[in-house]
Parts: sequence; C-alpha cells; structure tokens
Amino acid sequence: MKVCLPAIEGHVPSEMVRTLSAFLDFCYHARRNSLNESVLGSLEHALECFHHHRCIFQETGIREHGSKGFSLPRQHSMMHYRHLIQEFGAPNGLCSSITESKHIKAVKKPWRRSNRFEALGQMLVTNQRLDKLAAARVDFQSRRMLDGSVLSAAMRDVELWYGEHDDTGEDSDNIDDDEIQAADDGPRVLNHVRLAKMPGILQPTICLILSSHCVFYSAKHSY
Amino acid sequence: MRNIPTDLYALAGHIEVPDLPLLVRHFLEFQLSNNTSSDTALPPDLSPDSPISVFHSAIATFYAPSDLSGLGGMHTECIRSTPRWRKGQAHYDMVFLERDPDILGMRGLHVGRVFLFFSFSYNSAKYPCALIQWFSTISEGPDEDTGMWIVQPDLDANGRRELEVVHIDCILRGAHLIPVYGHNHLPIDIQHTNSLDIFQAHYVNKYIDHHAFEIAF
Repeated sequence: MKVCLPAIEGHVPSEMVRTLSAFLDFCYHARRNSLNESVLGSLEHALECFHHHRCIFQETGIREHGSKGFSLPRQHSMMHYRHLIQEFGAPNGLCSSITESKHIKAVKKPWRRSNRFEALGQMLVTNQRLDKLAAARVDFQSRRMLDGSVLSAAMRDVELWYGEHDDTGEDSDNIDDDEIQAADDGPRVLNHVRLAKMPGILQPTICLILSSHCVFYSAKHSY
Repeated sequence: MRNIPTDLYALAGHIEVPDLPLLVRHFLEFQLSNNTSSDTALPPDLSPDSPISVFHSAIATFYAPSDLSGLGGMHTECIRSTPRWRKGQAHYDMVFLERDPDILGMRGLHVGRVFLFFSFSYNSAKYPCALIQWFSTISEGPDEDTGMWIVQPDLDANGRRELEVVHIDCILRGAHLIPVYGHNHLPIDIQHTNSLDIFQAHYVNKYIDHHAFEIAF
C-alpha cells in the first residue's frame, strides 16, 4: 500500500486516495514507540478523516449502505485505540489479531516446552502452572515482596546493621531507578553518515552525463 | 584500469561537471567561514593537499525507535552513488539533508540526489563531501490527496541540473521518491534506472518506513 498510493492517484476518486492516506497515517502513528498528546491528536484526526472519506465506498456501491456498510471488526477497533493507548501505553507494533497472539502464548510455547508425548496434557499443566505463577506474582507484589533486587535487599540489611535505619533503603532504590532511566534516555546523536572504506574506481568509458540537458517526460499533472 | 582522476580539474572533466572546482571552492569558503580562522583567503588556484578520493557509497547510521529491527532501533543504510551499478546502469540515490534541525517535518529538510561522494584534505583538514542536486518542494504543504510532499529537480536557466558540494554531515539518510505518474500512458522506455531523470515531479514517500513517516510529514 505504501508504494501504490501514488500509482492509483488520478485513476480512482480522490476521496479513495484520501481514505487510504488517512488509514496509513493512522497505522504509522499507532506504531510509534512513544505517543504524546500531539501524536494522539493526529491519530484522532487521521481516524476522523478516514471515517469521513470512506463514505465514498458506499456512494460508489462497493460497500452496502446503512449500518452493514462498514461493520468490520478491525476498522471498528480503530476507534478504541486512543483510549486504550492512554490507559495501557503504546501498543508497539502489537498485532491487532489478538487471538493469534494469544495462540502463541497459550498453544505454541507450551507445546515447545512439552516433550511431545501426549502433549495436550502437558500443555494444560504448563498453562495452569504459569497462571498460578502469575497470580502469585501479583499477590507478592501487593505485599511489596518484590520491590528492588536481592542486592538492594542486602544493602538495606547492611545499612540497618550499621544503624542507619532511616528511609535510606528506599532512597537507594529510587537512585537505582533514576540511573536506569538515565542510561536508557534515547539517542545521543541524531544520525551519522560515513563514506565507504575503499575509494571506488571510475571507469574512463563511463561518464556521468551531468551537464547534458534533461529531457523531461511531461506528466501533465494539474497542480 | 585504475586511472582514477585524483586531480580536481581532471575529475571535473571526467564526470563532465566543469564547475566542480568552483563548487569545491564555494564549499571550502563556507566551511572556513564557519571556523575561527575566518580571515584565510583562498588562493585563486585552489588545489587540495592530497589526491581526491571518489567513493561509490556511504553508510548512514540513524536511530529509528519505532522500527525495531536492529539493536534497540539502530539502523544502517547504504547510500549509493555509482556510475555503474553491478555493471549495469547508473545508480544515484536520493537523500534527506538537514535544513533546520529545529523545524520538524519536511519544512526542516531538503531532498537531494547524490551524484558523487568524494573526500580531500585542505590545510591538513579532511573534508568528506557529496555533490548534490537539489530538489525543491513545489508548494507550501503536502499534496492534499496523498498527504505526501511533491518535489521537483532544480534546474538553471539552461535546463541543467543545479549542483552543489555539501559536507557529508548534512546528509540525514536515504529518501524514497515515487514519480507523479500523471494520467497519460507512459512511454515504454521508462525503466526503474532512469525514472528519476525522466519524470518532472516526484512524491517524497513518507510511508516507506516508520522513520521516514516521523521525519518527512
């Protein structure tokens, strides 16, 4: 779709081109690894444009009129992106066919763990245990048993041993978090270009025809 | 076979750009005026310290976090500028160049076509640079239907390409251009190798990857 948009331009109604353009805008915005308010605004705008321009498919009789026209699950799910991104963060390229991705977790990975002998029973046990582990993890987290690492717990004990029993243990945890944040702070340099390692050979017979006049094919495009 | 013209004037004759020494001169004047030693006047007969090296490609490295395929979104990309690509036709790539890093989107970028990568030394400083043909946007905003900017190659009054030598640090990464095909039937002799020379206007394809979408809107 990303290369055929200019090719269909002028051969289909311009509303259709705009529909596809708005759809691509939406997809690329949703795929970003970080979304701020302005990107969410653009996402919303792209969705509005998409909904506005896609009516051409009903007018030209490709889709049915009325409520059945665009009752398509994927296109419907686009309406929930903004709210869900605000709730749960960037989807980061998550496949929208959620059952497929659940299939990987619930079927493919447990199957790979099994020894292939009567695999179904082993897979069910694996899934059961994984669910229990996940539930236990949530429980431990709510009891604050999983805060920090083994090292930070040991540090806290040492500090307690030396009588510094203020809130220093929690402070050191915070410092750890800050350092991690600083280490993962994104790009230092925007980009870098370097020449090839070896200079090339210019064949004397082949010349760049730079100075000759360019013969342009007149596209007769009306801008 | 290895008779590479290493002299500036011989290279200018070889690639049929007689203005090349003048362009290099403008480039050096611009580079030296940015440095502290701004009073150094260039001699009339400009000759670099070392032989000129010509390169057929350059590697662009950039960070595109939404396109996770390398290590944490780091990408490298080869920009080619060769008169014979695999013993076939010429291959001159399009690139994005930085115009103003404070402005986001295409308004802060230039689009150009690299015709030559070369490097030379002058006053014991090394200058890797590129011979660029500029493409300029035809309007103040992107095309309303496709949402992509349309660019045209810059030509002088005689219909020749307007060329300039720029430092390689200005180059951001490769660009993807698609011709504005128009409504007529296309001649049969248009190939993928010569479409950049033949068509009058081109879309700057921001949909080619996620990074292009983030920089060329």
